[in-house]
Amino acid sequence: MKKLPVVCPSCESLLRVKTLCCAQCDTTVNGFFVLPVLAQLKPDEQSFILAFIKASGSLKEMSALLDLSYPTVRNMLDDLIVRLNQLENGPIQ
Amino acid sequence: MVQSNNRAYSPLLYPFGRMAGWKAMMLGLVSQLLAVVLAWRLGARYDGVLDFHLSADAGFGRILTDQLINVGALWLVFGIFLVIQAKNRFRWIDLFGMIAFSRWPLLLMPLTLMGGFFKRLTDYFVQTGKPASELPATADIFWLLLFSIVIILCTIWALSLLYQAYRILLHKEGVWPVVLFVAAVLSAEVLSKFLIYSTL
Repeated sequence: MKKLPVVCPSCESLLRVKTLCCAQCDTTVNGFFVLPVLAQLKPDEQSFILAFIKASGSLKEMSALLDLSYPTVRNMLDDLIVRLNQLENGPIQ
Repeated sequence: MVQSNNRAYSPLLYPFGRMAGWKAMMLGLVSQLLAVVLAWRLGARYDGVLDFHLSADAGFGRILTDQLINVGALWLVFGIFLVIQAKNRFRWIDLFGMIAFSRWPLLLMPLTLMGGFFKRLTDYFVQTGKPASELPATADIFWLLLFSIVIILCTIWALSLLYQAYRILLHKEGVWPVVLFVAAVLSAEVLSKFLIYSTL
């Protein structure tokens, strides 16, 4: 699967969505859309969130799934919370 | 698929990336008990968080009490420091387990007493009016130096594991965590010394 680029390769600003298209009928929508916060995360961060939700928010289960200690997984989650707060309060320009 | 971060993991140098809680607690306490048995059989004791000394006349009960005081002092002091400093929650079982396990390299220290080099040289140095014929053998001095280095390395290793445990539980960056870690180790050392010598 292709990786969704979220940061400009030229100036490192956050990219916005300008065009959306329907794969079925080829309709194209032009506009200026901001990427949702979750889409702005790195792929491994998104995978962590998905796995966390699938594990019913259990850090113990996450710990077993990732083969990492509980405090290490707890720290990963804390880092992710900080990152989400940063993205919500002020995206990288 | 979520990928675990394995790059920092090493069972000997960075065990806490994968191990904490009850598992670390059990392994840590068993290693400390083995260290007590070895120290007792080979004539030494851990009379302080950072101490290891020859002591041929200390009984098993005394050596075990010393070790329990050492681990207890670390649990207490680091518990207090982390409750004050840690912004995020931590589990006490992780603190108990990781601190207990961080002391496992001390298990290797009594092994340096095998062969009796330390005992012979200590006896020689504390004697007065030594006859020239009883000068220590060069081989004894070599082994003494080698084993002294091993003991220092074991202490550094244990401190490095303790620091990793503290950093994972604290999860903060900067200079202050380092300064407070040193303060916590010294406080635990003073507390353990006080408790050991007040229970003699």
